[in-house]
Amino acid sequence: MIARPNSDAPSLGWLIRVLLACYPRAWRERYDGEVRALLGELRDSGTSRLSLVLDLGLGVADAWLRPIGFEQEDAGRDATNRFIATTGWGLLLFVFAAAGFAKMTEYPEFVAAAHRHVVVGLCFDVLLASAVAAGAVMALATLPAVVALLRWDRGRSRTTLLCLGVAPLSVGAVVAAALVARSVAVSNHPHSATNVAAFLGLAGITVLAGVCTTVALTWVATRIPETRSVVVTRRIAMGGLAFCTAAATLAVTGWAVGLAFTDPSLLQEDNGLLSSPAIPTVASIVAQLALAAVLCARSGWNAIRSPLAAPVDQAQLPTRRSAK
Amino acid sequence: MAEDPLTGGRYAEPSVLILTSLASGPKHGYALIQDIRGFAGVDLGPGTLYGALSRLESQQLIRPLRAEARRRPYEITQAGADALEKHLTVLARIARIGRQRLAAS
Repeated sequence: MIARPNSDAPSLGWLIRVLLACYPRAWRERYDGEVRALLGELRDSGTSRLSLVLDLGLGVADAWLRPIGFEQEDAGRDATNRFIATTGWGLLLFVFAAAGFAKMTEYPEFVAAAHRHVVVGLCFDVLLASAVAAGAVMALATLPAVVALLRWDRGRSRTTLLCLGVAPLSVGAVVAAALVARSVAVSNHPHSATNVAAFLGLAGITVLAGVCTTVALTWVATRIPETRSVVVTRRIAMGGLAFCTAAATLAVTGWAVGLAFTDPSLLQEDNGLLSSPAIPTVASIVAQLALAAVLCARSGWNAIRSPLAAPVDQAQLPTRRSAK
Repeated sequence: MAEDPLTGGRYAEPSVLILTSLASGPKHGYALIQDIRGFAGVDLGPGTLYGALSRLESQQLIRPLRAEARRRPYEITQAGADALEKHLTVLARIARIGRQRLAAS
């Protein structure tokens, strides 16, 4: 059970609380209460808050980069963390590549080519179906984890709910920024200062949203209880996700090859993402998708082969009463 | 292979200071910091202190005692005392040779 601050716990700065929350779960379970007590005493003795923050930051980095002792005993949890990291990178690449492809092919010439040639159109459809299926698979895999987490955290803090809310808020912010950028792009030359500024704004908001989402979801992911339903759905979902990303890679490759034979002029101009050369853009998208497929396949393979933490029944999870 | 907490990594010096402090009896985190500041003039931060404590504990050179109001004292084990003795012997030899060479130069 993760040690929680008592009601009489000293009031720590928010940055120090965030840093403490960034330690690996095994570390927090073992030392969190002690360190909070120590921080309270150090604060009362007038120790500089900046030095505390810097020292804790180094401690957090070290705890993740060089886990030792009791942390290594929890091999199942480490496997889960590696799984989350690999899958996260795979999904991120998939989203970036798919968004890039959608942006590149939004022009009428590409849409017309998809209608004229069966192979090009089919590849479009396969890519769209892959993206929808990947989203559905992730939603299915996420649902049991969120339920288990909320059940575990019920009534004890609002942090979990807040962190879970960061992802949809971030997505909303990026979509809103993208819509604004698109409306700007329609009425300006692709390389105009206004257009570039809109793109940089969109990029900035995307990076900020990505960082916030990563921090929030990492906080959440390292606390997900390993219930039987969580473990089983995760294993099933990874197979589906690997399949979807592989299908998307083949679809974009097939689309580019089909276009090269049917409408090569479309690949010879600055028709790429943000009016960049088309062929390097497509090559970059294929490379991202291929890497996403490899990462997801690796996650799926590891999830099936490596034993995760011993599954526990949902009924065995601590409730609000028993957790105290 | 596990790293020797007294000779490798950024926790080597804090580990020696902690074992030296615990050699006089069990102490909790804040008492360790105060004691080390007193005899070595070194201020250990909480991240460094617990990074070193966790390594020493995993190597069974110290052991935790029952917590008292959220403050958990630690005591040195026999293996910890032996490791400290060995390390201090090496340090003493280095100090002796260093002084001899300085005097000769």
